[in-house]
Amino acid sequence: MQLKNWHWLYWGTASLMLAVIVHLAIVLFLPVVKTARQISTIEITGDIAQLAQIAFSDHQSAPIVSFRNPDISYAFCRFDLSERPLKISARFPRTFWSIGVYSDTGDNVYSLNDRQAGIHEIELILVDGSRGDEDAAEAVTTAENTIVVSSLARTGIVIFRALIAERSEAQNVAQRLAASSCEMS
Amino acid sequence: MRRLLTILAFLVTGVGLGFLSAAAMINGGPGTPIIASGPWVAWPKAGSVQADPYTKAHFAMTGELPLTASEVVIFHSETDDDANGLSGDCTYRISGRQLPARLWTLTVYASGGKLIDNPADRHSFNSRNVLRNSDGSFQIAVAPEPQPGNWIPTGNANRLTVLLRLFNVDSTVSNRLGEIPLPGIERLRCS
Repeated sequence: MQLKNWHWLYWGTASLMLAVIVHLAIVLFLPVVKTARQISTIEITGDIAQLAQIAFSDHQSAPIVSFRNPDISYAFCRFDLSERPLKISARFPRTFWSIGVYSDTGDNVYSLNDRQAGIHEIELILVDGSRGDEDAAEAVTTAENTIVVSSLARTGIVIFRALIAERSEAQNVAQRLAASSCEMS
Repeated sequence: MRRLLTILAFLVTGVGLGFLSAAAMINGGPGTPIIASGPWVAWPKAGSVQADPYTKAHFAMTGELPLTASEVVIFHSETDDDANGLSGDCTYRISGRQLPARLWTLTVYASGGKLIDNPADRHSFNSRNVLRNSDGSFQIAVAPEPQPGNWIPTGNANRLTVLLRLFNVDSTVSNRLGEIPLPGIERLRCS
């Protein structure tokens, strides 16, 4: 093979290797960078452990929950478990509801819905399980209506969701969610 | 000079190939773990801690914070049944039957995942409020002009995305999501 061909083979291989590095960097770092920035924007509307809601009529909430479902009423609170656990008192209407705990990179590390819970008022104690070697968040029911969740995520966001089956229910569903609370315990 | 051009070509080719291939895979390119059914696409590992990097990157890009498939399976569509891109200037008929889930919602978005402002403030229907035919089937019109029955206005939106969310999918189909008979999206006319 002529020296000129080796030259192109060398640069072609180098280009492919660079492409692989760029590809992996984008795929692996996108959740770390973009989702973390998305969640941090919530600081504008909600401090740590402060419950905030998205108004039914707010169509511009995409930075917080992109592709917001208008048939769902949302509330959320950020958490940082590095010093103390988070106590969540969730109050849901008698319809479909779900509570999801997300890491800064968007992993849904824990979720619970009305069908699993069987009740509509529930207390969750979110503790820092990120130092442990659990494969997934561990949930332990300690008392009636109280669940201790060992979260793999030390920081992140809790999202409350409740169904608005009819538009006329929107205000009642939002008021019920507003009775929920988050506090560092 | 020639060496400088070679290095420049190396950088442009490497970065360009890396960027384009990542974008293709994040958008559901060949080899990604998506489920495709007609015009609908779902990422069954969405939200899961065990999700593959492409699924995580996809939802980081869209800005969604999805629940896992055990709670909600989300089917996206950006095309009609004939693979034409969905446009706010066109009238579509979405036709479906009973879906194997506890409940469902169907929502129309403008690009970027934003709800479309419209005087009727209507963006979606769900399995509890959709008007049905006597056999349980339903039709939803997605159109810029008012339509009888179930109508979702498209306002002045250019590109549209439709999301069908199935909550608590029946266990009989939870491992065969690609076999769920999803609604069809038929383009009727464009202005």
